[in-house]
Amino acid sequence: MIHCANITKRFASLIAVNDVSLEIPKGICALLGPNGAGKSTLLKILTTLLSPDAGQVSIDNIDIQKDPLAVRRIIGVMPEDLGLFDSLSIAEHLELSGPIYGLSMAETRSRSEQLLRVLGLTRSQDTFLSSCSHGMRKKTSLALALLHNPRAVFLDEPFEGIDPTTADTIRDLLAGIARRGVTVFFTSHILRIVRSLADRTVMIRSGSVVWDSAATPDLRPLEDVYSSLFEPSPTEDVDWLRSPSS
Amino acid sequence: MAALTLLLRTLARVVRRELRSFLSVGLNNFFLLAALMAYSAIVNGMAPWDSLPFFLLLSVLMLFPMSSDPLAKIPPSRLELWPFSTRERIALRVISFAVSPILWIALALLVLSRRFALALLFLAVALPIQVVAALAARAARSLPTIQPLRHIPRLPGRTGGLIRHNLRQLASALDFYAALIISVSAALYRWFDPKANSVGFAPLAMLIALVLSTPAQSSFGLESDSGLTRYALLPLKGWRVLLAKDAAFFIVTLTMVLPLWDIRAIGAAATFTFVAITLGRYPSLVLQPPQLPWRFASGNFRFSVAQLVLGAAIGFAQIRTTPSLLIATFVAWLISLAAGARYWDKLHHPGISASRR
Repeated sequence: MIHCANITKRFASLIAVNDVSLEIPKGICALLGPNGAGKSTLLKILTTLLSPDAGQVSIDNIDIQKDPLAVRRIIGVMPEDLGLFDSLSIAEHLELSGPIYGLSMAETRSRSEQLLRVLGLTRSQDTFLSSCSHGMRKKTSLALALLHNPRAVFLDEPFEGIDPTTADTIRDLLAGIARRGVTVFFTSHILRIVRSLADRTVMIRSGSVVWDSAATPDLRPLEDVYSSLFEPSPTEDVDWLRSPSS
Repeated sequence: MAALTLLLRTLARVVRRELRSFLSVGLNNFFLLAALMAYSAIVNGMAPWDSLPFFLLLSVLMLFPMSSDPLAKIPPSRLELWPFSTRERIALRVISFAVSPILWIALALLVLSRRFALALLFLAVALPIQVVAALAARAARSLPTIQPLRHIPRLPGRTGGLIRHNLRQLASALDFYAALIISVSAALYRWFDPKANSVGFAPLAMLIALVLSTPAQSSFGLESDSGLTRYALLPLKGWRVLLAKDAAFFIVTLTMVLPLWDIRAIGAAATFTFVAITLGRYPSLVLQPPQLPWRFASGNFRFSVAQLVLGAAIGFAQIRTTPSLLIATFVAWLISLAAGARYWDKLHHPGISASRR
């Protein structure tokens, strides 16, 4: 479904993605790694937002460099900055998006109502995005990613910054669409959710894949694998925080 | 006291920055027209009275978004959390008015004109406007359904939602309100002045189009990074994205010119708008002049002059001749749409190296 071969992306002297090759069939794949590891850059490349300096990417056998519009039609994306307009309300975002993907207004409205209900946004659907909380914005972006029934969904940290109940709802929603044949590719830092949701886990560090559950099955818990691969930053005692008199 | 002084100094810096953001008007087509009128009057040894209404309109509109309360710049929760005593809070409230932009402007007027009455008149006009603006903002926050921009409907078609978004963006620039005031005044003149001369309708329509023309240089200036990401993700060809921007522009211009109910006026405004959008395409896509909401749009000087001179020249020529010039400007607009779309598609094509973006 998602095929990328020898992807490299540089920003000046920084190599953000370094010769990454992945073959992701249908199912749910999680991309893990510490901040600055290159997760969002890789996601941007897979979703046509960034061009790689080298390598090839195809989604459902469509080369993203040859036909990016065709790829954009079949994917749903929740980007790092969520991709939302401050001048529109939650419901208006969905009304904007549906017809662009070829849905009729009636179909757009009916799908929007259901998505808003599932994501708990019905009561706030007329709120302008500029007045929405971060969680509401995130859920709006997720609704936009799913509205047109895409073949592959790419989500940048969908579970971060939202309440646990909604996180569980989103997890169940993604598990459901994956069962119906949609490929889900997401990044996260929440290992508990990754463990319970993903069929496959890929970890990257400094732009390179350092662990792939498909290639190197490991019986250890995910947390142990993660902590063995990524060293914690050195701890330093901030002693003045405890001495109010000083 | 040291903390208060530091806070006031920070507030003064914030107010200075805010005032500087209003200087965007210096590269606004309407301001440039008023300045040109004033300059030509002075050069010819006359007082620049003709341009005064334009400067007044610009100034009054800028008073609405200018907050006279500097403490409003601090997030309320942060202000509450800072460990100030009641006495310090009262002192802060009183002293903060010293850094109010309205007071500074009044003082500047006093120093420059040496007329106390003029500074007082400014305060008498500015303060009620500030109160009205503050009340309107509070009402809009507590009763979101009364927000006027909410009532801009979704237009039919594949990009109808985008056009609504673009209309709302246009309505969040002060240029829109300047044009609206001129449009309403022109309509009142047209329908209620028994001596209304139809010869003046077309120039009036062109003035409306001119006042609206600067935002054509910054079509994407009000888009956030998040909004631009959404544009990049939408499966739309560049021409559709740009056409949705242009359509919003034409809708606003024609809606404001229509009350004049004069075919020559509509033709002149359409001609001016075609010229303005055609010339605005390059700065809009490539130069991307900065734009803030609730300010006058700011353009690139060379392109602003070109919009003014060519728009007015071709517009006036169109009134006197035939629709052929309208057709010619329409063709020019189509070419600019095609060229702009080509640029947009290249910019958002992942096959093109980022270094070329």
